[in-house]
Amino acid sequence: MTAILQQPRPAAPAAGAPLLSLAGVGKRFGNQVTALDGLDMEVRRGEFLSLLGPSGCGKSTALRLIAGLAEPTSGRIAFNGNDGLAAGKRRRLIGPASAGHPAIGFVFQEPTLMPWASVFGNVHLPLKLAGTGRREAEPAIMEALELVGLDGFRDAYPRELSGGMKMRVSIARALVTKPRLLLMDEPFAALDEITRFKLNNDLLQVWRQLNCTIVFVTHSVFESVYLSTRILVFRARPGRIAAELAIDPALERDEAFRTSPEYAALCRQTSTALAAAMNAG
Amino acid sequence: MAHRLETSPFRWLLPVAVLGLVILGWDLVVRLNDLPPYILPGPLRVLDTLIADRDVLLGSLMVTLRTTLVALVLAAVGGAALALLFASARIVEFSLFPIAIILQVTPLIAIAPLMLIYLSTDTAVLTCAWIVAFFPILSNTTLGLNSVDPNLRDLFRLSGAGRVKTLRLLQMPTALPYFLGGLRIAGGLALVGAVVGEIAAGSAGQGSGLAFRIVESAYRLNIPRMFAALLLISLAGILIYAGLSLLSWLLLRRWHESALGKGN
Repeated sequence: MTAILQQPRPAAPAAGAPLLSLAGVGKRFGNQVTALDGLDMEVRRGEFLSLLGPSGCGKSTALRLIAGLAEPTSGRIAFNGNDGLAAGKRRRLIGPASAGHPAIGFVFQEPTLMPWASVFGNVHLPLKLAGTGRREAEPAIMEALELVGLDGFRDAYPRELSGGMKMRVSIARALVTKPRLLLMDEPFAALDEITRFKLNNDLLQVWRQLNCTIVFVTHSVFESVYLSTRILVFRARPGRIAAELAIDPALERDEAFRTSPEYAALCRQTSTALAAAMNAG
Repeated sequence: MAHRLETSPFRWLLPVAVLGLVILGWDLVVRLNDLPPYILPGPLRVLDTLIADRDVLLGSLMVTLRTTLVALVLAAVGGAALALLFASARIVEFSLFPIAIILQVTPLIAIAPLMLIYLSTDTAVLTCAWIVAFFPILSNTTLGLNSVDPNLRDLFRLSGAGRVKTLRLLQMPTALPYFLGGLRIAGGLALVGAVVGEIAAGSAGQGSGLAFRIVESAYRLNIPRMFAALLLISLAGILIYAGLSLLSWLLLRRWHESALGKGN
């Protein structure tokens, strides 16, 4: 483990306390593929945590385990200090803004929109599944669309949108329930760089505005340094954490930061950690 | 150039012109060889017969169309319902799907005489049409219900959606284009089934569908009427296909690739 850089400075009183923790978590698929082995990590309230690593290092698997979309083969996942609960119950412990709504927002690598529904209908989905009608849900839907800058496209269909706009709809759908925890699985990997930079900035703004916790899976060093307050570097075969880096949350993340020597130094450090992790694997 | 052809009126004019040439050739063959109508009637003779026998032929067209449409509706409802049942209980799928396949691969013309023994003529003809129309709807809809985007399925799970909601809001819309594709195949097949049933019933039945008219006209050596009836069957098939294509377009035009203009 290499603990480097500045200590993260808590942004709010509640920030920094663990929201959930994984202890000795392993995940095997069948009898051959060991995706994760002995993974210890925690997610702290209010942080922007990136899971960085090469393909096949189990970072996406870790995200799915946290979401409760898969069960670990070994080890424990505890939410707010509670463990030994079924995935659905665990998720609820994170505590949504209002009861009955999913506590976790999940953004996939692909936009994963329903092609038969309009932008409005797609963003409505999580609330609809929780039993909230169209009219009742409308303010929340429009608020989420405004957050991602798509309030003018409520009646458009996914096929009419560009790749970046589809991803914005996908993010709005994850935000509409006001989740305390937002899980993102390489959401911008398929986008061009210009769109990606723009969405990075917008995502940071949403994160500050909603004061939520984000776990962000990526294989881009530059993206992880730009966005995160903390980075966990994964190594592959078996997947586990090789290094941890903290980045001062007080740093202003803007275009000037992208070209600053500080950013370059952080990227170099992260790259070195990633290279070491890959050699170790 | 290829793109130009897609949008230009040539796209419609070309097949019409080819069809016109074929009819013209047919007419020339009949005229030049001075063929009598009981060997090969010319196109004008067929048209004359169609007009002269319109009461008999249009009545028969209605009978065949009615059989086809009733069979198609029953196949659509039955096929979709069984596919939904398959999707909600695998054990039903495993027990019934092989039987549906056996029913499909056994040639209809071989089953029809048996059905005519046990069922009344009308019911037997309807059953023939239903059997062939049923399978494409069942298999296509089953495929569609199982073709859900795995990420969307995960999203439904994360949102705590139960099976009924997942079926209604995710699986059924996913399956809709597949179902409509099956319906279009079934439309043509239902007509084939009705015709096969009528021919198998033959003179034994008092049925008066178009295929029955063909068999009857063959016995009477009324070849022009055979052609006229054939023409109507063909038109009925085109009509059914066009109607189902329109239905498909109306339901999918907002979102599905198959219904989008090429210019997009």
